[in-house]
Amino acid sequence: MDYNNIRKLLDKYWEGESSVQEEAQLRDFFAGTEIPEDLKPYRPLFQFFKMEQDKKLNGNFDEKLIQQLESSDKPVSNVRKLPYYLMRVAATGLLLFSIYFVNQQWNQSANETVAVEELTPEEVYEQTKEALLLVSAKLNKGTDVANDGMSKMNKATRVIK
Amino acid sequence: MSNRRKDEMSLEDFTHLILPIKNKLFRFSLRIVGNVAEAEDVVQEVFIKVWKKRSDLANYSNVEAWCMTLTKNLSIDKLRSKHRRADSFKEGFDIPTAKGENPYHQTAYNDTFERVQKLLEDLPEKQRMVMQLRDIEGLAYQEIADALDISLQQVKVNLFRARQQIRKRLVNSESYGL
Repeated sequence: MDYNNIRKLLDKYWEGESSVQEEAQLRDFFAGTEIPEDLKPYRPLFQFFKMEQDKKLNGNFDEKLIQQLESSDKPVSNVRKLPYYLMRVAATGLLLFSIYFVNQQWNQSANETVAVEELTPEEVYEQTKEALLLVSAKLNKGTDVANDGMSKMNKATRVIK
Repeated sequence: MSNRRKDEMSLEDFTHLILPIKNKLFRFSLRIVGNVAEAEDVVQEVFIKVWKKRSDLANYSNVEAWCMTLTKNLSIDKLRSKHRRADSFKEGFDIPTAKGENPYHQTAYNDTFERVQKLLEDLPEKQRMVMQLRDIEGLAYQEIADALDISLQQVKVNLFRARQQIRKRLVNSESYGL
């Protein structure tokens, strides 16, 4: 190999006069195994440059970035600002509560259905009548109280007159 | 204003036109912040900024240089806000050790790597950035001038000084067996 050409290129390099292509040529040369003794001190530098060119971002960088870009376009709601684990805790709590509530309701209504079924039609009739009479009696009592109040008012009006 | 949306860049355009320079930006940031995770954050921030300004992209003659400038500024901000370059700097360059197949190889590899790393590290910031953009990223002088927002003459002067300094120290360390 013509090392003199490399030496010339190197001189240009140190003076800052080499082109981008010539610099690539130097890096390729020093990546090889046959380096004359006088050029060996410079090998680490050009090897370093070549190694540095291989440094890359993690493979999942694009994916993460695109997600960020997409979400940067949407207005951020308050819910989205909640940390993910908090949202999970809240969702689990809500689910457990719902199961408990539905279960309670179901048991209750099941018990009532059984109670009604145990009565004969006559008994149901009696119970309904009793309930209605009770309501009616209470209503009458209310009317009496109101009447009483009215008469007192009338009396008071007369006194004022 | 109203016809802006029509020219606006789509996510697909973005991934084809701008995303490919990510590793260039990453290495540039890494040279400044010296830490892989932080450099990754910087690149992400740069792209988010560019994405938010995508309707103005036509106003930038050289988008890559603009990204470089953003990377440089964000990296320097990050570095200055943390003041922990000395500790974190090694961490970012530990990755290649995985390449070494046997312990001897690995040690030799790391010695070389760390020695040159140290030489670059000792250069003034501007010289280091110019050298990174030229010798690792292969940018033209004008592109470096745009990215760093300095004159063409300054690019040449900084590169010349950086290379002279490195050359001197490479030859010295060789002869003294350092």
